[in-house]
Amino acid sequence: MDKLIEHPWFKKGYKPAVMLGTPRSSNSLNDVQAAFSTDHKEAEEPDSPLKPVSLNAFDIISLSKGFDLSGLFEQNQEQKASSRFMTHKPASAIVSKLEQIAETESFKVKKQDGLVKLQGSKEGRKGQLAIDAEIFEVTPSCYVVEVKKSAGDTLEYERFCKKDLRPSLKDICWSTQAEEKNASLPPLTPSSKSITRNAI
Amino acid sequence: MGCASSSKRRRRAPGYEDPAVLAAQTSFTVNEVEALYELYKKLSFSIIKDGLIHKEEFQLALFRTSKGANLFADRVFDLFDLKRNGVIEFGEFVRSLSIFHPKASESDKTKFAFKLYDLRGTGYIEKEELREMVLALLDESDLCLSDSAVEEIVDSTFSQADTNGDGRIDPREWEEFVKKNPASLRNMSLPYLQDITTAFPSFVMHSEVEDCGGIDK
Repeated sequence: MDKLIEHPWFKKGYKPAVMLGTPRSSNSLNDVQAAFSTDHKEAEEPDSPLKPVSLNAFDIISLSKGFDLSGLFEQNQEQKASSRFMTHKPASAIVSKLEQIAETESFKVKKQDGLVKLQGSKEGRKGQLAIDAEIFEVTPSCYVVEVKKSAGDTLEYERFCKKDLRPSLKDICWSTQAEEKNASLPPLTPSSKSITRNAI
Repeated sequence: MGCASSSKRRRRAPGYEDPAVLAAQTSFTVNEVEALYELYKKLSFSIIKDGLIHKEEFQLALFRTSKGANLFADRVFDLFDLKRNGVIEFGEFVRSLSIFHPKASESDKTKFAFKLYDLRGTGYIEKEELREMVLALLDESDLCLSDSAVEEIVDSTFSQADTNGDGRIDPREWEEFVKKNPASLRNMSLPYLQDITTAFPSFVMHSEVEDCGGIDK
């Protein structure tokens, strides 16, 4: 069990200064495998209690795409493969929803503080699909869930979102116009989400 | 002829500075500065082919579209544009990006973030500015929060930061706040900058060669 904690993968994602909005998850399939591997006796280690990270106003602001300069460096047009949802339901309801989705698709689930990790069992085009769903508390009655792909093929991730994630989360989250728009957009199309100023 | 020649005295983008000079004054190595020049060329020729990064080109790079407006991208652009001449020159590009290098000092990052958030450049972050930014983010993400929820968030954060209670956050208060909430500087570090030489390989000889339709002074 100690080996799991000491594994560099665990340390990688938890640097406080670069927590959100940076490619904190390992893209190495091996690391994702290691996290879910039964060799590390993960079954013996209980999931830690749900403790979503609290967002202050500056945290919220830093989520902006306008601040995300990584776009200057990204050579390929590949989409970021992440989405954000907002909900008034408590964090535990979000986690249950995610666990439900995981069960229908035979995904393995791992929970740590405010992070829920899902790993697909099927070997996809680029290995198993792995998804991180991170829950943040904005106010005690409002949470943001950020879902992003941590391993696997982007198209498979998009399909998962469209087919499983969004329909499932719809009843607990505000469905925003943009989410609906994005759901029908083919991948690799520039997202206009961050630019349009909708009058809601 | 013309375009293909590789004379060392090749004209450079306006605002070009010697990589050695830039390396000495920033967190980058000479190789990294040269790699950044490759990136810079790509960005500065994307729409207006003058070797300078205009606002639309900056937006195109960040959002994959040059249309629309984004408060935060505007702030970053303005801060990069040190000379305030409406464009980002190569030297400005490198010096500003240097602050985003993971190895750059916390102090530089803290100061830069403060300037980013001080929308009106008053030297303080006022509550209205914080509120404006939160609203802009919600708008950008198409997320909805009630007015009272927004107020709750803004009030709570503001009271944490504004320790002397004068209704605005000054640089010292910001420093203290960041020390207690290091994640507030998350957007001030770009891990990509450590791999820049692999992402944008630049071979010294070839970096002297401009594409056809290169810069004419």
